[in-house]
Amino acid sequence: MFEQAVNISLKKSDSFECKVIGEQLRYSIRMKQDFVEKAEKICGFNIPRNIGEVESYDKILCMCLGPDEWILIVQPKLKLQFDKIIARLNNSITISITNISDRNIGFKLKGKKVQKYINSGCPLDLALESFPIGKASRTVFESVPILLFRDGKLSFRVECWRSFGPYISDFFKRIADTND
Amino acid sequence: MLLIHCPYCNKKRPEVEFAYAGEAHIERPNGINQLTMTDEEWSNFMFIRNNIRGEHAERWWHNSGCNMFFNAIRNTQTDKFIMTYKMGENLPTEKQIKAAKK
Amino acid sequence: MKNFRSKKGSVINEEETIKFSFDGNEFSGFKGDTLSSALLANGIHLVGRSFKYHRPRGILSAGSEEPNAIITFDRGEGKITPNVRATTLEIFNRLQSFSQNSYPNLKFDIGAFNNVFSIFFPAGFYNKTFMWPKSFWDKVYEPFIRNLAGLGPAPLSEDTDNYASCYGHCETLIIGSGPAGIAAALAASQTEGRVILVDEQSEIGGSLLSSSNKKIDNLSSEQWLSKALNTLKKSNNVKLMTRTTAIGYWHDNFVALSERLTDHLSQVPEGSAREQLHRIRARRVILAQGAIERPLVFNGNDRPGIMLSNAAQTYLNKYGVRVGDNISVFTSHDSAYETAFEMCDAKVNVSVIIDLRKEVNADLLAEANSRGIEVHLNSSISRTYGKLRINAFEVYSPIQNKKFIVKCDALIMSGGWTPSLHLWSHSKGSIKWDKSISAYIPDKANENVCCIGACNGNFGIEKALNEGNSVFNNNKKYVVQEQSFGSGVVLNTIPNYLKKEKQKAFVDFQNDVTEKDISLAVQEGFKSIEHVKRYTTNGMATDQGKTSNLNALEIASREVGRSIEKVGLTTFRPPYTPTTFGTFVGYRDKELFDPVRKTPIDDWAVTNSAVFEPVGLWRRARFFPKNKENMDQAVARECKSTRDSLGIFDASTLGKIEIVGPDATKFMNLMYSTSWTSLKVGNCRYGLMLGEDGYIYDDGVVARIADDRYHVTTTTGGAPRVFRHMEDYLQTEFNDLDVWLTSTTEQWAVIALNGPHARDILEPLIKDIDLSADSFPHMSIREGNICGIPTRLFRVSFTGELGFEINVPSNYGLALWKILMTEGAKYRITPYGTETMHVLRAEKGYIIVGQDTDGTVTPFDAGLGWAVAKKKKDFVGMRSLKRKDLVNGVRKQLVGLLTEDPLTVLAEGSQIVINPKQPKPMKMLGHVTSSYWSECLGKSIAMAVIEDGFNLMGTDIYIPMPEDTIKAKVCKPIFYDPEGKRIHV
Repeated sequence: MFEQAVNISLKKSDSFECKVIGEQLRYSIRMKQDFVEKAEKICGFNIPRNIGEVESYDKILCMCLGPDEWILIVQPKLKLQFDKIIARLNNSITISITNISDRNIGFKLKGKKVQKYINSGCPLDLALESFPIGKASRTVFESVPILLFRDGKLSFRVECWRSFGPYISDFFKRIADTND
Repeated sequence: MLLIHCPYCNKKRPEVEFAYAGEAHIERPNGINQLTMTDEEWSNFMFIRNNIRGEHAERWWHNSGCNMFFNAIRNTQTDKFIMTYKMGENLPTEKQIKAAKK
Repeated sequence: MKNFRSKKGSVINEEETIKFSFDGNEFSGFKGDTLSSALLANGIHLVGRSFKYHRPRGILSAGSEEPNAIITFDRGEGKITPNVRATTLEIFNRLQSFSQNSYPNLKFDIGAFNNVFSIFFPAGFYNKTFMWPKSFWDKVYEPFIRNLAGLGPAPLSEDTDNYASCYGHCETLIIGSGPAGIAAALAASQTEGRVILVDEQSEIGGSLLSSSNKKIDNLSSEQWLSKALNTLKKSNNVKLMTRTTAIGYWHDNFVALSERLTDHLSQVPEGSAREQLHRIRARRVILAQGAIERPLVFNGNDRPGIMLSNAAQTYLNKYGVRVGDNISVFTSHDSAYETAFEMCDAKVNVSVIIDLRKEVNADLLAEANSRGIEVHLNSSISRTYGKLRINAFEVYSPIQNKKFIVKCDALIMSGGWTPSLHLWSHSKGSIKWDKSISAYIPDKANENVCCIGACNGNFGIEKALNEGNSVFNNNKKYVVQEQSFGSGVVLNTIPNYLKKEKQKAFVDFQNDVTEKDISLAVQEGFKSIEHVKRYTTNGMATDQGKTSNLNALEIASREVGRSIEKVGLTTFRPPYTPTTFGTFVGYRDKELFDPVRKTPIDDWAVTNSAVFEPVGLWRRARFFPKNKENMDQAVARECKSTRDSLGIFDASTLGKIEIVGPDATKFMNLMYSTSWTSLKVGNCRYGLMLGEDGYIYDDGVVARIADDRYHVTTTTGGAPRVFRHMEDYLQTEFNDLDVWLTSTTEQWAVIALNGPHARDILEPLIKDIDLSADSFPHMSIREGNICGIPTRLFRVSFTGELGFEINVPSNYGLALWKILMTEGAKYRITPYGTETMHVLRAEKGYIIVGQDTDGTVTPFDAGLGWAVAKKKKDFVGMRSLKRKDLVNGVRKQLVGLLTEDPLTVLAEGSQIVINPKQPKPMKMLGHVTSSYWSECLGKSIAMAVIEDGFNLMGTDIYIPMPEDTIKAKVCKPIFYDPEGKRIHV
């Protein structure tokens, strides 16, 4: 029954690969910094304090997007565990947790040309010095708001709202077709 | 395309991530104070803006970034940002603006 | 055909012969040639006709400043580019090029009659001539002007090429790869940062490629250049970009580069981009754009065969081409001597130098003498001869009042040099007048940018190299053996015994602006240089006056009687050179032009032949025609089935915001005119949102999910601005509240079921929610599961029927829709689109914000006063609603209309009057906001905003239309089931 907006799997030798990430649990977390420590204890993992920082674990990604905003991306198999964590967070601290699992669609982008291709539409300086591995940021790709996370020298994760997914995948396909 | 320093991200970021949000430091009177305002006073608050030629205090929204509103001093003639500061901070003094220009 | 190749050009590969065609004639050139160098090598000077007078024109320059040699470059269907400069177009095998503005052919052009009658085409000709009679405007003048307008033919078919674009970042961006740019790049390569060196030409080298007999640090200039290039190529931090033009420079060192990737190739790789736009952000920009030589403005200066001295030098050294066999020189600057000497040294015959100056450096005269070149000082050229190419000119000596004729086949000229300030000016750097070179040079920078070399007014290779080097505080000093660059004078009048009226001295070659035109403009009262420019069109052609602006300025200054600094310079604007639309578009054509947002159910709608309409970026199914139905038929059927049995509608695009936090209710109370305090968990309420001005801003149903959690819906189009509006107030006015907003529009797919069977279809699918009217009444919400999918189930209705809106996570929306379509078969379930939705809601008088309201409608005007809380102490818009004119003024109010003839459907937007017989202009009371045929009621219905409408109930009003005047009666805006029984079943 589960059907994402697009299901692309594009591979151009080792220069570029673009793949839709499968089902994920996503939560938008909002709270004041004062509560972060308490939240960490309940969650059992570290929560980054500064905008752009990411704590990444095997099945959990926690990115700080704003002074009081985080996105938590979790593997679906942890659903029951996180239902409990969320209930405890809601009961213990002043926090806003909203399920946005299906709001976003995620893409895994990698390959030798990945930085160049993302820079085709993203205005940020993606050199390793200014956008190091482990950094995340909300930004834009052409006119589309995206969430960009670098998980390797030649590997990125891009998330956008569901309905922009086909546009993003068409765009990367065009870039790859034009440049390869 | 401008580079705008977001005081929350503490980084210069490209203009396309931002949206302009009008003149800054215009405080909305609360419901109780509104009641004592004449129509003229209310319309001044609602509609009358300084429209400064030169250094202008204005609001920006980092909507495709950290989602925060902040204030800025920008020269409307040269388009140059002189400084940005967090929402809630006071309007910078002339001295502070001068210092920021250096 | 005679060959004009005199030596080995610095960029020419003589091993590779290239065949190309111009105006259908086959020619050959070498690899490395531009179209202009290859034509000159074949002895061709005549390449085009001028814009206004259709005068024969030749090649004036050797670079992107070219005003004359403008051709159409044809690479086949969908790949035709007009107005390409032959001087920058590289030739390749089978290149097809055509001259422009000539008919039937270049040598015999009918349009040239304009030249004969040129006396009738002075400055401002169009403004003066096409004034009267008025009846001629459309039929005669317009087509005539249209015919004259434009240079090359606009392509008729779609551009079939691909284009690319990207962002780039560097610490140093160097624009121009002449000696200054290269020296700067060499120095920059030793820094940490990323360096980009761009040049619009096909090779790095700039003026070094055009010069000979120079020694840099004891190496020949060729050797030095190849060594420097090697160093740069080996540097990891340096990127060299050729065929790349910096077209514009914006704030904070944002520079756009247009890179031409394939126009020089005979075989274009499949799928590759033709051009790429680079949007570069540089920490520092170094401009080394060089200088452009200035033509001399003398009578007959536009004949083919007359060109800039520096161009002739470039053709000789860079391409090995001599521009004639019997060359003369006309100059007011020393640099033309260098060209003359180099030509002599390459065994090209240079007979005379006509120099406007009284005195010239003795060394130059001696050198000329040693080469057998006659020099006439204090002399001028008064006429030129030759129909399609210069064959002679008349020398005039004003002192002796002597005239004589000199024969030639080419005349090269130099009127001094103009530093290229284009990008500097884009960056808003200020400029100052430099008397010594009679030109503007850079003054104060407005960005982290500097100019070096000739564009900074520092001429000569040694100066350029050392200035480029010094930018990085490098101690190295370059030593160059070169002839001194020398000096010159700039004259704003070239002496001539002929009366001004008899002369044709061109300033702007491309737009055919003569010295006379500029004088006339000033005489007619145009004193500002910006006005002179527009009146005469000087500098407004595709070359943007690169060779003409300063000459025009000199003449205008003379005529106005004010110094040049006082007259000022016209503004330079991007792009620096003409740029294809494709470059600006980049990847964003066709499906990438703008995102089309599709709902999770879109696929099903496509399969089931939906007709779509755009709503913001969304596309929504408008109706689902069956068996060749038109829209009206389909909508009538969809409406009827929904009211009779069951309709299904994709409402996923509705904006949704989740508002969470202990202060959620406080915040909701502030943001909406509606009161939320009494709303119980599990219930919904209609929310009306006002702007601070008191007018309706948005509306939607809001559900209370928990004490501290609201599920807010907004209009489809209003979602982004409502979110911004709320975020703005939350962060800047109500920031003491503990509450947060999250956009959840796309988290939920929303399927609306409406009709008497809406409950029947759901009952077997939902086990954990009691759907009965008692436990789940209208305007409530329950959480549960449908077919195993978690849902927020709303019992709401935008149709007046029993209705449910099923919210499920988006990725399950399509699956659920399909299940409902199957399960609904027994109720003749009918999918309907936005058009039916509009009709059904209008039958109930439900407003659509933005259609029935226009930003000047208060809740009271719309009959929604009940949605304004009376007891609240504060909410956005509260104070404005108390403004005197809103309380006491005559307001336009939302009412219903029923046409006298029930079959007549009013046009939305049409104006309403009370008395159709009143004299024009009639007083208009308001307009029709919504109007439909109601199949269920068997008559047309409409909503309208009308002045004092509430007091006009039952009154006849009139809608004057072009054909006739329609009569209608004002009524309450509710047409169907006014008691509201159906919604509560």
